[in-house]
Amino acid sequence: MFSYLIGRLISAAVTLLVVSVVVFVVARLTGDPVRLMLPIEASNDEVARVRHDLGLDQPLPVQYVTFVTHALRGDLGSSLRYQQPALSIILGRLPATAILAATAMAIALVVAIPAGIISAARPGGLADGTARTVSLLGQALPAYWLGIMLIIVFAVWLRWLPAAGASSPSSVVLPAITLGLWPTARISRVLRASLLEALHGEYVRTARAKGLSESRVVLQHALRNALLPAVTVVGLSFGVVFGGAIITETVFAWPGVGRLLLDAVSQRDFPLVQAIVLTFSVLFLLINLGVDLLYGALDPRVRLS
Amino acid sequence: MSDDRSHLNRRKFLQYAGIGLAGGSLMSLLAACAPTAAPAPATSAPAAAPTSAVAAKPTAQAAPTSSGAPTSQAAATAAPSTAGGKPITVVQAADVPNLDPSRNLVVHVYNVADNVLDTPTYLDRNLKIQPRLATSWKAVDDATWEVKFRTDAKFHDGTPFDTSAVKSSFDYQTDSAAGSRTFFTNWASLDVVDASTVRVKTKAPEPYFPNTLSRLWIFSPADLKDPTVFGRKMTGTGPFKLTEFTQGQQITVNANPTYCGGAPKINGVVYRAAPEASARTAMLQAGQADVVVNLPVEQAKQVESSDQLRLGAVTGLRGVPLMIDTRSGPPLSDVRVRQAMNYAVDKDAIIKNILGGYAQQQPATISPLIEGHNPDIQPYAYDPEKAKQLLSDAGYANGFDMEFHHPTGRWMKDAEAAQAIAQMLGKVGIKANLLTAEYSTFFNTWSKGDYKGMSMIGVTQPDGTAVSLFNLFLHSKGAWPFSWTDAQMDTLIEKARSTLDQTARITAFHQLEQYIHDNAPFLFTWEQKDLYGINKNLKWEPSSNEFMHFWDATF
Repeated sequence: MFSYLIGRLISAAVTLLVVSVVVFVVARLTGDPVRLMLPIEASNDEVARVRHDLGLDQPLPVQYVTFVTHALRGDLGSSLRYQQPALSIILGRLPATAILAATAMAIALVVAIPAGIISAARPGGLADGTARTVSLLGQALPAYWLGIMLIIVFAVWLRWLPAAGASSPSSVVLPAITLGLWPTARISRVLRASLLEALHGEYVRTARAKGLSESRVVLQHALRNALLPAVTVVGLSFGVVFGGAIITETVFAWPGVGRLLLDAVSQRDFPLVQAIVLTFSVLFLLINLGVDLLYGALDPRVRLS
Repeated sequence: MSDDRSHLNRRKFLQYAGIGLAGGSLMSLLAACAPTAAPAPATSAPAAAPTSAVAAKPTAQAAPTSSGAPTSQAAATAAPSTAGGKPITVVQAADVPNLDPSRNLVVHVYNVADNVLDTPTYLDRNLKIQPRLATSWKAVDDATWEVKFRTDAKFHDGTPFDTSAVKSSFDYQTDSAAGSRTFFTNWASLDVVDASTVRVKTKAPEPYFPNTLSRLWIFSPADLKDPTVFGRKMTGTGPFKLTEFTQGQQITVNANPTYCGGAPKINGVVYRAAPEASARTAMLQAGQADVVVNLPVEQAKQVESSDQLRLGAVTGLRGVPLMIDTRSGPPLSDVRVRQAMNYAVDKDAIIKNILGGYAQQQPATISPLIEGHNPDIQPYAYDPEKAKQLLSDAGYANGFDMEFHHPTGRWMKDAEAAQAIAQMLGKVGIKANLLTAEYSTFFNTWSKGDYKGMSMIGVTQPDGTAVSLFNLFLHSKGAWPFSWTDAQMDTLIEKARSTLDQTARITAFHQLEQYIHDNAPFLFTWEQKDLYGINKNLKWEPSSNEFMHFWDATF
């Protein structure tokens, strides 16, 4: 177990290193933040001077080494526009994204688990058909479009909920629904498939032969085994939700890290982009590790080595 | 093992298809229950949403934004009508990362800073210079100006204002890390004469000195000792005090009751940001906001027809000329070809049908609001026959190929207008290859001079003078690699920008504008109006230079 953890941590570190190189290089290839920061009238001399002040005229490998040595000390650089340490900006916005992601996942679980169970209990029925179609739509509909539709219907017409921003507790509802639709769809489909599989097991036949009620068979016996693949998907969905938050947060003006990232990319705020991508990578890696450990704990057949 | 997949027979297929269609169209139908008025864009260009990373399906997108239904629903519940007690909520298009306007040269930062800080002069709604912290200014000689300041102003922390603050602010705004340095390149020095007087020496004569003064923010000397404070707060002498700055969420400013220019009539202003234009409009329609900026054309029409809201469509200063690159020689270096391009495009039709009428033609470079505008210049008429004639005279009877670069989602209907222009050029034989990019990428490549052919670029003049436009593009020593090299143009520009006598200066600008029109370094297009959505109960008008001043607003 211990050696497993060490192995995972080493591979996580290697992944982070690769990510840092990629984001570092790609960001710098796509544009120049200095031109964007200065007025359009600024002369090329002005631009060169500011670029020098910011250390952006150094050769890329030098800049990268500076970045890595600082990062190892916990200093992920200073945002070019905020003029504050990138990490503290991110940490300030992370709670908002976490709340949104958690609410979205909560909605997803509350909807997807019953839906998956009903679908699998009566495959081919009306409920199953509806659930599967809605699932398909949920995975196909763009969040951008859905979000705006929800705003128009629930905020402008019905005035039940705020249109955008995070000014009141009810502000989280529409963005969480938008963000949660994809994981709902995914989880319910996976649960349906794995529960159907489980219901064909020998032990289910035995349970039925013993005279147990169908609901006990499904919920107490089959479901436990069916939940295992679903746990993996739930864990991975958390990661996807953090990424999908970029669009949802922009549409709903939610004050989280996703919107911060989009804004930073469009302004080529390199230090902030790097810091956010690395933070997300660390989160994904931790979530993946957590999911694998959880799976190992839940399923006695799996031995992590 | 039994088959756990249901048999997909015809009945089940129809069942699923029916459910799918019903569910998927339900939402679209709800939103599109009024007949669509705006034509959907011809291609799959995303609707005006600058920061969207995903292109929406055009038909689904066109439907909601042109519906009349939301406004009739909104009429059922009254917009929040407010007495002086409630602050104004303003929703801008981007977050304020840092309050310092000398390092963050963007209008959404200016709109906060300009209500908290003062400047010696400012531009009123008609773009006329008015005194603010300064009381008077005069040219002592051709290269020296003397400015007198108020003595009754105080910073929000109680410290009295005097001209040492002007000096320290000038030093801060012109130091090596400040982007605002560019505005003061013609100032050689600023010196304190006494507690209420300063002297500025300019390098060359500067007739628009009072306009440059409007760019000089007066910071609190206490703040300048540690400028990192601008990430959290800002102290000024202005009509509003900053009371809250929660990054990503909101900025709150409250009225300063002891403001030297008279206390504001409203309680305060709350600034928020919503990058998505539909969300901004929805906030306005739902009563969550009193002022929203940068409405797209379709949503402007919705706001116009609403009972609770009104559209502030101000003549703006933002033009989008199409710069023609003459560095590669003919055909584009031939003036007849450039004139032909101007005759080939029906700009009025584009303004009416694509921009919703929210723009006016600009046949030269200076806005009608700015001194130097030549009202006698007529735009190139729409005359494709004349265009073909000119092309044939220049030896291009069969037309030619050309690159046409433009961003998408940056200016009003930029991509759609570019497509229309390319089509019209095609009809006279000029095949324009449309090449687009997201704005930062576009601007980056353009500013290096790597774009050949024709490029759409947006220009504006927030200080109310025409001068820097010429410094940028049209003078041979201009900042851009595209610079026009023409000795006559250089002479006309230098004359106009340094004549101190107003009448003579205006005549010089008129001559320059006529020369520019005749030589057509651009395919002249239009100046777009700035579109604001405003709560009908709010008595406030936006300014033409995109600044928002709230000290005279009332409900």
